[in-house]
Amino acid sequence: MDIKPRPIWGRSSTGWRSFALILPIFTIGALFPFGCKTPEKRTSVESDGPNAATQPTYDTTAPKPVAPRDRLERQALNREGGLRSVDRLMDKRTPLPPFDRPTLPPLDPDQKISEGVPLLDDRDPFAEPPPLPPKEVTIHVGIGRSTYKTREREEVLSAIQPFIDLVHREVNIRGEAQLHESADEMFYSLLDGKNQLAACNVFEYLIIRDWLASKEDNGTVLLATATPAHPRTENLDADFVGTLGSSIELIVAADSIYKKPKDLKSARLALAANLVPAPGAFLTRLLADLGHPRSQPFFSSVALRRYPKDCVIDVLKGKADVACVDQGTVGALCRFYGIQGRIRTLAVSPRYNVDALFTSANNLATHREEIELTQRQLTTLGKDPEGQEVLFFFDVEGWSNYRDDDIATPRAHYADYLKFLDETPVDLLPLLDPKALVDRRTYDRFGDE
Amino acid sequence: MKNLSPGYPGILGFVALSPILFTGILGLGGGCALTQKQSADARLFPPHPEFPPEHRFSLDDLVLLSVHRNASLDVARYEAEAAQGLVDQVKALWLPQLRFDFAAIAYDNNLNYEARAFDLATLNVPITGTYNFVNSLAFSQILYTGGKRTSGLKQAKMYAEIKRLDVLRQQDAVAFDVANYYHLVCFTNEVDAILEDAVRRLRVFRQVAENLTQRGSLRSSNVDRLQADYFIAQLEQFRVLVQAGRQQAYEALKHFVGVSRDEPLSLKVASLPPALTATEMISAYNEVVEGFSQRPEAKQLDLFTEIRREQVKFAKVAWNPNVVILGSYLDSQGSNNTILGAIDGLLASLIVDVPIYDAGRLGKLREALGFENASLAFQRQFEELITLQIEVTAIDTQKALATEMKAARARAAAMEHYDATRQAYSRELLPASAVATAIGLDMLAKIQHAQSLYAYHDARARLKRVTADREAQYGY
Repeated sequence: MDIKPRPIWGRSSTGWRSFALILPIFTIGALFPFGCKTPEKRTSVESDGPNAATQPTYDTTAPKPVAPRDRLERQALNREGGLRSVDRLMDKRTPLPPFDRPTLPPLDPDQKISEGVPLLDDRDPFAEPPPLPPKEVTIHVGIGRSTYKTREREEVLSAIQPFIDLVHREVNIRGEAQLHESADEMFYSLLDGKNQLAACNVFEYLIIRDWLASKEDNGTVLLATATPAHPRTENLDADFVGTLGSSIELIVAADSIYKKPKDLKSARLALAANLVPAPGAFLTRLLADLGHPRSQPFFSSVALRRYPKDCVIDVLKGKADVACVDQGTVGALCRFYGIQGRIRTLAVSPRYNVDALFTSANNLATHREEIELTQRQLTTLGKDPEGQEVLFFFDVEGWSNYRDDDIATPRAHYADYLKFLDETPVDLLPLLDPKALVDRRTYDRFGDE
Repeated sequence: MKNLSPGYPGILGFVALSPILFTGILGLGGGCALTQKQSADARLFPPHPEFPPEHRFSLDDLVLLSVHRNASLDVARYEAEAAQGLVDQVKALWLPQLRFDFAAIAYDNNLNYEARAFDLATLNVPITGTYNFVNSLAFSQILYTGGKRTSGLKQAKMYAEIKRLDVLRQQDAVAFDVANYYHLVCFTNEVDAILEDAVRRLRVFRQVAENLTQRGSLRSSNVDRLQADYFIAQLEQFRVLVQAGRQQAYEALKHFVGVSRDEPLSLKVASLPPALTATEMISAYNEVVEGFSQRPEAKQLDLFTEIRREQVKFAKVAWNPNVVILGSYLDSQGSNNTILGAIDGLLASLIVDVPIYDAGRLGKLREALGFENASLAFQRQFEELITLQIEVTAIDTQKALATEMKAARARAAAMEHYDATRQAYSRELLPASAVATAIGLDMLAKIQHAQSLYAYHDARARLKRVTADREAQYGY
C-alpha cells in the first residue's frame, strides 16, 4: 500500500465531493451570519393579484413583529443561512394538503322533530302567518235574540267574527252573521233564502218548524244543539232528563218565608230582559198550576233587569223577593261570590233552556256543502283555542250534532211556550214588550250598585 | 359542581404526562416490540341496535343509540385501546429482541490509515476495501431489572384501566347531554305550544275588542285592543326565542346521539313526561353511598394515586442492577478487508449495570414522594368534591320535585282562575280585561310548571350522571 498524503477533497469530479464542499459553507453561513443583509420582514402572505408586490394582503394570523434583543435572537428570527436554503429546496415539494372535507349536508326539510313538530324553515324560520285572502260571503247565519239573550248586538257580532274567520281558514267558506230580534224575522229569512242557517232557543226553533212545515216542500232540519258550560244541578232537578244545566230556577233568599211557589203570592219578582222563552214558559206553567187567572197579577211587582245576575243580587239585597233566572247565572254567582248558603231554589223548570242550530229544506237544496261544512266547524269548535273562546263568550261548552230525543224535553213542554205566547199572564207581558221599561242599573263586582 | 368533570386537572394532567413517565421504562426495551395477541379480545363491543326508518325514538332509545354512534365515545375507546398497546410495549421487555442489519459500503478511497510513530516506524493499516457488504444479526434479552420492569408494567396497566374508565366517564357525560337536550327539546316544544295557545286566545280577545270599537260599542275600548296587541307582540317574540331554542336543542341532540344531519330522528314524544310522585322521594345520602362506589372518576383517581405510589417504588428500585445479555453475529463480504474480516463471527456479552452513585436518583425519589403525597391529598379533595356534587345534585332533585308539585298546584289554580273568569265574564260579573289577565296568568302558570318539570327531569338526569347510574332507564 502507498503511504501518500492526499488532499482531503482532492477530486472535484464527483457529486459527493461537491456536496462535501457546499455543506461547510452552509454550516458556516448559518453559524456566522455577519455581514449578511437582513431581508425585509414579511407582513403578509403572498398574493396572487397583479399588484402583489406593492399591495400587501394583510393576514391576521401573521405574527406581530418581534424585536430581536441579541444576535442569536436576530439569527433565529431572520432564519438566515441554511434554513432558507431548505425552504427553497423543500417547501414546494411539501405543500400543506388542501382542505377538501365536504360540507355537512343540510337538514332534510321533511324531517320532523316529532309528530306535528316540523323543523323551522331554512330561509324564513319565523314567517308571519299569512292573512286570510278575501272571499265572497256564501253563507248567512241568522242568530236569534233568544240565543244571545242579554248581550248587546255589537258584542254578538264581534264575538262571532273569530268563528267566521276560523271557518274561512279551515274550510274556505266565508260566512256572515245576521241578528234577529224575533222568531218571525228568522222564519222569513230562512224562507227567502237570506239566511241559510239559524241559531235560536229551542222553543223558537219549534215554532219556526211549525211555520215552515205549513209551506209546501219545505221544513226545518235540526242540525245541532248546544251544551251549557259549567252546568249546575240542584236537588230539585236531579232526576230530570234532558241537557244538564238547561233549567230555569226560582231563587229566593235562604232565610225567606217562601217555602213553595204558592207562597210567592204578592212577592216582588225580578226577571232579566231579553231572557224570554224558557222563563216565559216556566212561569206560565207555574201560574197555571197554581190556578191563578192570567188576567190577574200574581206578583206585587215585576222588575225587568238588564242582566240576570242583578235579579239574584236584588234578592240578596232585599230589593226583590224572587228571581227567575237561568241555571248558568246561579252557578256563576255561586262560584264567584260563594252565595250558595244565602240563596234557596224554590222551583226548577224542566231542562228545556237549550239553543238549537237548524236550516230549512229550501236552503239545504241550494247550500248543502256550505251548511254541512259550517255545521262540522261548529261542532268541532271546542278543539281550537279560538273556538273555545267564542264558545265561552256565550257560556257554551260545545255544540253536538242532533241525535234522537235531544230535544224531547222542550218538545214535551212546547205547549207551555205556546200558552205563554198566546195566553200571556199579565205578570209576564213586559217580557214580550220590546218597549217595556228595563232597570239598567247594575251591580259592580263588589256587589255595589 | 356542574363543571367538576372538565375541571379534572390531575387525571388529565397525568394522561398528558404519561408518555413522559413511561419513557424511562420503555427506554430499556428499545423501540421495537414484538407483535402480540391482544389480551382484551374477551371483551366485545355490543351489536348495534337496529331501528326501522320510521322508528320514533324514546329517550332510552336515544341514550342507547348514542353509546354506539357518539364520536367522542369512539375517541375514548380507541385511546383506551392505544393504552393497551402501551401495556404490550412494557410486557415486551420480558421478551428477547432479535434484529438483522445489512450495510453496503463503497468508496473510491481505501481510507488506509498511515502513521509514522516517533519517526521510527511507518504503519499502513488498510481499514477497508473499495466495497464491502456487512450482514449482522443482533440479539438482546433483559434478564433482570431489579423490579423496574414489574413496576412499569403495573403503572402501564393502571394507566390503561384509567383510560378504559374514561370511556365510562364519557358515556355518562354523553348520556346526560342526550337527556338534557332531549328534555330541552320537549320543554321548548311545550312552552311553544303554551304560547301558541295563549296567542290564539288573545287574538280572539283582540279581534272582539277591535270589532266592538269599530262598531262604536262602549263594551270595549281601544285600550283593550292595544293591551292585547302588546301582549301578543311580547308572546310572539318569546315564541321566536323558544322555537329557535327548540331547533338548536334538537340539532344538539342529534349531535350528541351521533346521528348525521341528513338522517331522520323523530322523537316519540315531544313533551315532558310527568314527574314522580312525592312517595318516590330519594334520600340524598343514599345517593352518595351508591353513587360514590359507581363513579368512574373515583376509581380513576384511586388508580392515579396507586400509580404515584408505584412511582415511589420505581424510584427506589432504580438502584437495583440491570442485567442484559447481548449477542451478535457479523459477516463481512468485500474486497478482502482484513479488519472487517477479523471481527466476523459470533459475539456474546453479558452486561451488568450497577449504579454505585447517582445523586439524580435521590432527586427522582424525592420528586416521586412529593407527587405521591400530592396525589393522596388530591384524592381526598376530589372525593370530597364528588360527595359534594352528588349530595348537591340529590338535593337539587328533591328541590325540583317539590317545586314541580307546587308549580302543578299553581297551574291548577291558574286554570281554575281562568275558567272562573271566563264564566264570570260571560255572566257580566267581570270586565273583558279580566279575561286577558286570566289568559296571561294561566299561560305563565303553565310555563312555570313546564319549567319546573324540565328542572326536575334535568336534575334527575344530572343525578344519574353524578351517581354513574347506568342501570336505571331514563324513562324513570
